Amino acid sequence: MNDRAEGPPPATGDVEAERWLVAAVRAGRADAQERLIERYQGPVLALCLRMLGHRQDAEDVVQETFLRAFRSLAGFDPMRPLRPWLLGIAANRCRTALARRARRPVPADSLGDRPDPRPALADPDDLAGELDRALARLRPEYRAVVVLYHEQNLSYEDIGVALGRPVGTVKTWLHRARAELAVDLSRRGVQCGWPGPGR
Amino acid sequence: MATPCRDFDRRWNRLLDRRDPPPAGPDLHADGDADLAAHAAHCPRCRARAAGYDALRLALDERARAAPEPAAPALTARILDAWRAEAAAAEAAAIASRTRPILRAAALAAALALAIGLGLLSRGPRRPDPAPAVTAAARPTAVRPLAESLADATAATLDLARETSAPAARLGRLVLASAAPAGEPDPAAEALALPISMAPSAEVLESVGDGLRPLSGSARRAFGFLLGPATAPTRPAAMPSPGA
Repeated sequence: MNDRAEGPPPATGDVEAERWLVAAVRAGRADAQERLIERYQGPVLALCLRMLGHRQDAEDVVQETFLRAFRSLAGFDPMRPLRPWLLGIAANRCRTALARRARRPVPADSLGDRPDPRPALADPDDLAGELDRALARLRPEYRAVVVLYHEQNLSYEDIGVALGRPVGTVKTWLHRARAELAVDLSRRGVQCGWPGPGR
Repeated sequence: MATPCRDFDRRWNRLLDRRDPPPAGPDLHADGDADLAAHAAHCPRCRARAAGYDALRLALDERARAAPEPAAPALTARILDAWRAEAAAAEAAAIASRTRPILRAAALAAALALAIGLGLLSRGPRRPDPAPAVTAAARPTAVRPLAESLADATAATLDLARETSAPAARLGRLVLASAAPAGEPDPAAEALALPISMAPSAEVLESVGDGLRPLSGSARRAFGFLLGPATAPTRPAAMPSPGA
């Protein structure tokens, strides 16, 4: 396996590049570690930000995710795709961080960071912001499957492996999450695209 | 065929499952889901849900088009620093775990050597005992001072008894001498004639006052201590009347 890690990384092919990275990190190449972090930091950070809604907390979880990955890489099957594996670690770490946060008393000065639960007139130009606020009100497992499916483009099977759940459970969670999001957006007056009664 | 309400959510989920850009509302007709729009046109509840689903589809589409989260060099450096620190700590722990058995064996050997050395030192060449052994001849000299001390204490106790009882004895003799009839031998003078070193016997003391009936009871009570503690208290047979 270590012979794969010698020389420069392959120029083409995600699968080959991933396998080279895994082998190089296992061989203890510091440049490979840095390369692996740079390659997957964006998706992992995006997932953590969406799950936690707080930059500092998200960066802490990203760090914890990569440290755990480096520790566990010796037992990782290089035939498996690396990204779903990393995102699965991150999702589980986010869930743990959210549980820890729920047990922590909320300081009075952080009340302003909470999502506004009041219905408000939607800004048609801020659909992504409305989606973020609706996502923040979902259960963490529902939020995770929405982000992993729609933003990280993982398949049902990959999400199931990442979260350690059967595919049927993942599908159920995603469908329920979409229904809740649709109702939430509709209640907040976010209506666009669908012809209304008068259109 | 009209779409029932219970199929409305399922069909929308199927549309949202698509990876390629999902069709907009009017394109539902092109995708063969015209009956969704037809149902929504006649069902206010499903129309409201359809509006929510459509807003969700557009929001997800907008989110997917957003620029990916850029890699933060500071975060990369922070992660690498944390990993190096962890690796260094793990290496130190590994070195410690490797050297710990050696150190333990060395400490055990040193403790064993120390114990053996101390044992040998304590059993080394026997030196002459600085304290002379007590011989049988010298042993009585060690006991003798105690016997002498006891004898001295006894003598001192007797002297003290004599000195404290002397005034009382003198007074008693004076009383007896004044009370004795003329011509009879003075028992007090006899007692005084006794050698000093010779203690008066009980018989002598019992005879003191014989013949002195008027004062015998009082004398016995007053000077009974000279007779010793063995004498039982005597009760005068007949108390003389003051006028007799």
